Amino acid sequence: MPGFIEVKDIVKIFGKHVVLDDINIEIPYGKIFGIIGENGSGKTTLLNTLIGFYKPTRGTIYFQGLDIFKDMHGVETRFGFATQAGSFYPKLTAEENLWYFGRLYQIPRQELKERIRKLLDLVELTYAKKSLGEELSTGMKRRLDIACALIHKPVVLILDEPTEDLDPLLRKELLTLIKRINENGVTVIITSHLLEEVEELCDLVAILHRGRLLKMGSPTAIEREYGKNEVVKLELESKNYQVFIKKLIQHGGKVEDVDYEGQKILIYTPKGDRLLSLIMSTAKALKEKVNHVSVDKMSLNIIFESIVRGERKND
Amino acid sequence: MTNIWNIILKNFRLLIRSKTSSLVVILGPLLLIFLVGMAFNTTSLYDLRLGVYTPSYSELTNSLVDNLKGNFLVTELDKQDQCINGVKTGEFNVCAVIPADLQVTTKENIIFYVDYSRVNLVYNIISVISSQLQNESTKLSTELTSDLLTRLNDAKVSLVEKKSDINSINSNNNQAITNINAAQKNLVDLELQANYQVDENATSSEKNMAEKLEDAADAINRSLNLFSSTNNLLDQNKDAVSSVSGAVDSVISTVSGLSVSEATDIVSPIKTQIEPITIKEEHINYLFPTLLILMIMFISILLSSTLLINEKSTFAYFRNFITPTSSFTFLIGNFLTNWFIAIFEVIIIIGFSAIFLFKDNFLTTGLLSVLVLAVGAVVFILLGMVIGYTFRSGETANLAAISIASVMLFFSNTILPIETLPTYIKSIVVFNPFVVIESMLKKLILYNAGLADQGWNFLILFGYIMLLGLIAYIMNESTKRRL
Repeated sequence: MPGFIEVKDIVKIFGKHVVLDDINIEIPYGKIFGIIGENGSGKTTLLNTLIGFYKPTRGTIYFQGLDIFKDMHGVETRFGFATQAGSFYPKLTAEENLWYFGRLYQIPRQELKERIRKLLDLVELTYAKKSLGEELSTGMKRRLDIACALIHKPVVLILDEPTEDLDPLLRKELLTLIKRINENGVTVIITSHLLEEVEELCDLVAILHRGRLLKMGSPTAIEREYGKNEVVKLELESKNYQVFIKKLIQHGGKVEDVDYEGQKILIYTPKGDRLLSLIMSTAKALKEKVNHVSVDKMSLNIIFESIVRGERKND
Repeated sequence: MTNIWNIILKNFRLLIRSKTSSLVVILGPLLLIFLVGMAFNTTSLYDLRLGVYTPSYSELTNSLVDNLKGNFLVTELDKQDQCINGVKTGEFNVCAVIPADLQVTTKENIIFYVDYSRVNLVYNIISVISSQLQNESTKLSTELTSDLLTRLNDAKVSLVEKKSDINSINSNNNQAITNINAAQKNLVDLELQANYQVDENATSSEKNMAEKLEDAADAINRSLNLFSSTNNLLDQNKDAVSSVSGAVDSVISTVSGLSVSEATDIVSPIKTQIEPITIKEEHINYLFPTLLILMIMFISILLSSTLLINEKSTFAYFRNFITPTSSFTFLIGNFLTNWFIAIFEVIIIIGFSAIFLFKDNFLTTGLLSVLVLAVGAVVFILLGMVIGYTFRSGETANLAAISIASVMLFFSNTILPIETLPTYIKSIVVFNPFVVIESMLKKLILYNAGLADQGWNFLILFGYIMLLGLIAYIMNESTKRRL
């Protein structure tokens, strides 16, 4: 169902600061939609606008063809939202939190009891239902927050950096949970700056940079677009990269672009293996000591970094 | 309604689980009332320190100082400066400088040095000491007057006793005059001629007789003259005795005619008595309405602002806003939570105080007091909510809450009577909700006046409720935008 959620020409300005600049996004039904971007890129503001909490300065958002700002009740009852901070009361138990928010959605008592039972089961918190929110571990808190967001059976679940601060194991568990929720017919919109998980989880990805939408599409399509290159990471003892790259090109090395990452230089090339052997021979010829060299495929992470770096140069 | 109850239940759970808050909110005011009750449940002033200096002691000075020692911690000092400086340093509450050799006839005044920066205490001290000295002064006056009256009375008794002697003198005098007159008449009746002519032939005895008769006539004439003179003197005596008698009568009549015969009537011819318009005696009784409203004001403002700040500082606050529940419902839910707690406190305190304060009229005065405090609590809770919505951090909100409550307390009758304020400030202060509610409670609790004439005060409170309710709602909406 394309156009399930349509973000049309959204501009959001706080004071003189343009936080969202002419954003146009279409989110289809039943998909997991990822929004990636650096801190301050406008991800959270976009999510807050999606749930109608912020009114855009210009533009609007359609949910199933209806302007959400003219039908807030529709958004409130059909969107669920989980923040990175955990939007529940730490002094209430898991069960009490779910009961409280469920009653705010005016869910009848009997139905709510059953729904809480199922949700606690889904997020695997049944054993901790009598524990206070503040007593839960970080992973459990994140799961409780998601449960709170799902209490009214929303058709859209919005998750703002849900895996932030989680260790790899908990992160994996949470991603599995999100997939399970999505499999139940809930469209998921998720923000993250951990691009591996977005790549693994999302059907569609939008890249935001300083309030602008830079790219949108499936991770595969984006990788395909940028995937013609590989990236060689090189660290020389002398750090004399300008001379080295010049010699490398003279020796026939194909260098599309270069960038820096700390002490290392990133060399974008269509043929990483060939460039690697040229690097070794050039280093030998120049008597340069190589501290590190590696070849990577262009992952979403590298593509994101590449795009953002390009944008920074343009800015 | 379900949602409101849900919000209230959640708020109570949060409050109960935050043990410190619960203790502060629930036990704090009760403890405050208990301590204040213990401290003020008396009619006397304790431990007032009085410095006394006099260049030299007399019997009267000693008596006065002994009398003061019965009520104050009196320190007798050798130097006047030491005494006055003692008040400045707080060593003494009052310094009394007594003239040297104080006597009843001493013209100099006893001077009291007091620290007017401690306004309430000064008035109390002046009142107590004045009362003590007045008693001493009255005692002296009474003794002197009593002596005077006794002597006057003795004189009167003596005069009355001697009045019979005067009468006796008068009577004897009259008798003497009568006797003299009779004797005079008898002598005149003898008709003896002073010039007895005897012829030459008369015998010698006749001549002798004539001479004797002539001598007798002369003697009679002289006696008559003497009688006449004596009679005049007796008449004069009679007049004098009559005059003395009249004077004595007048003195006796004047002394008897004195309308006061008791020394106290002369010392205090106009008798005054301070009669309280209430029957309560201990300080706590007069303070109780103020204490009640003070407690409700601080609880309501601090609790409502703190609860809101706590709510705003949890991330759950954001989730509340994205549920299909109106801001108004949250506002009412939060308001009712605070209101129920305030009412709970009021009921407990009024309930306890019913034992000693309301006694027979608990069902009227007690319940009406709860009603007034319930309305008052609405005003203060809404004020606290406005503060809670306005400020972002607990520290600033608490500071604002305490500052505003303190301003209301300061511009009330609690510290200084509002009558002492400039007119233009007084015209504003009378609308201070603290003053309005305190006045209502005083009328209820101290004068048992009911609520019949409290319409204007209720109107003022309802005005505040409407205004603060509106501001709280606007601030709540504004807070939502600031999230």
